[in-house]
Amino acid sequence: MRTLFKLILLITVQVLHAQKPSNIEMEEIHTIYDESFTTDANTTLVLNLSNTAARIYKSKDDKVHIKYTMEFNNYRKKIVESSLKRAIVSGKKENNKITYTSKSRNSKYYRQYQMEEVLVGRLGKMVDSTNKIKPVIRKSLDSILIQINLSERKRLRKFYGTFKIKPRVKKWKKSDKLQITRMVIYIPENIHVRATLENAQLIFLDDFINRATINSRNSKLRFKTIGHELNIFDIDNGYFNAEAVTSGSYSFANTKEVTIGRLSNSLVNSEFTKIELGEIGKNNKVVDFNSKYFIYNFSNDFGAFNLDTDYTEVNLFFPESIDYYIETFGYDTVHYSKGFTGVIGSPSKYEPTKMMTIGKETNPNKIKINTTHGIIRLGEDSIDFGKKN
Amino acid sequence: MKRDIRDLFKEEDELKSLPENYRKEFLEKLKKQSKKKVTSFSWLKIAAVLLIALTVGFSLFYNNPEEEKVSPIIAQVEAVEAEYLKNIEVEWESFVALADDEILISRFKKKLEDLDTDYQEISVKFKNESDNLVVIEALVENLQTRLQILKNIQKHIKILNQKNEQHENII
Repeated sequence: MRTLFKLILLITVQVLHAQKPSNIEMEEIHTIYDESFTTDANTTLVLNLSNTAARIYKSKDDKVHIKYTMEFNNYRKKIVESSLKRAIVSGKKENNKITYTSKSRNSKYYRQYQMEEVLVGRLGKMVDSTNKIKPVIRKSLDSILIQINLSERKRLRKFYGTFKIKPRVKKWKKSDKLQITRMVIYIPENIHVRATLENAQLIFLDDFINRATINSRNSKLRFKTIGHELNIFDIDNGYFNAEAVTSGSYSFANTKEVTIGRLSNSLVNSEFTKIELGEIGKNNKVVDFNSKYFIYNFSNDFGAFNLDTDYTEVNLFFPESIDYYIETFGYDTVHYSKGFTGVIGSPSKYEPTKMMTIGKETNPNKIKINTTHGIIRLGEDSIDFGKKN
Repeated sequence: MKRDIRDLFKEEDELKSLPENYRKEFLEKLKKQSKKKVTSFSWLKIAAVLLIALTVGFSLFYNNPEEEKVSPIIAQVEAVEAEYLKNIEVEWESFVALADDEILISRFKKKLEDLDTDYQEISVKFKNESDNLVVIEALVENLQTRLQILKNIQKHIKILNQKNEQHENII
């Protein structure tokens, strides 16, 4: 176990600092890939990324630019060669389709810190966490945006805490071992992006309003604003954070963390996922099976917000400062709302009925929840999750 | 020119007579030769030891001790896997006993089968890349997801059942 621990620690600490700016001049800089491709409105960019971390920016011209470097300081030649061999990269342009593929045998990004949970008592921790019940308080949109921006740091802190590592404060010296991997992709905003991602980590540092078709497994994605009416995102496992989603269709299955600041004009299809929504804007629909939703705020003109749910837990804070209408329709659903707790719609009848309404039906801002076998909690500023079961 | 052959033997006998200090000189020469042989054998020994030391040193220094690294990881992952699978089985049986919705049970069965298929795919990767932490993480996250969804749905059903009983009591 000690050997394993040291190994994990060694690799992780090396990787943890991989994306940090250094104050030292690196001994060796290897360019793995450096290419630019011209595009037009009909160009499609196909990204196949596996075990890869990349930063994505909006291109300042009409070209796709891809640059991938690996930098080493104080590493033996053989180790450097081995690392370089593990990076498999290719790129080409054919018939106005640019295809870029990047694979690495060993992933080089900080999310490896989660290994501590894998091998150091994760099971125990997980079981304990299911028994902790505490009231949930309303989060403002700003606090959700901060939460999104700090999501990586939060995980890093968790890693440091578990391994009892004090974050490095002293400056890097020339004699230190250091490896930095950088992949940067610049994408013009008018092209279609099709991405297949596996164990990847992508951070979009500019708004991404391209049409995008993304199929992602076990990946971590962070966006500022995304949105295109033809967007199709299929996210299986992993993490998804976006400051704003302005349109498109998004599917989440078994996703560990979905946090969206503002959501508008979108269809969300989900199962077995925990989803936090900072603010509901216009024309959204949710279809879900057995997920947990936390809906904190509504814009003043959100119009219609519809949820079709089965075995779903919906935790919703009432809209503030505006009139609204809430309706629940279905059967066999526990409601916790304004002093009322109980099941409405007996499971023995299995006939959908209007179960609960709040406000006037004529109000233009309507929340309609179709629910079967659900749990609906509604609250002003906090939601009480009741006694421990 | 006839010659008695016995004279020839006499001459040879005279030639074969050794100097007086011959024995001493011979022993000294022998001693010197023995010393030389001993010295060259020592050098060979030293060279062999150095060669072995360098070979071992290089292999330790440059080669990744894959076996040392891999074995504990595989053992740990196998232990984690066994523990999770045992718990998943317990939770599955508990869920089936609790749920009275056949559609729900079949949906969960399908989900768990899909997750198991994913797991088999990741396991193949793990066999080839047992030192890849991301693969190990994916393996365990898969197991964790299976266990967690089973725990969550049971908790959900218990809340529904609890409130249904209260509802029936009120009616």
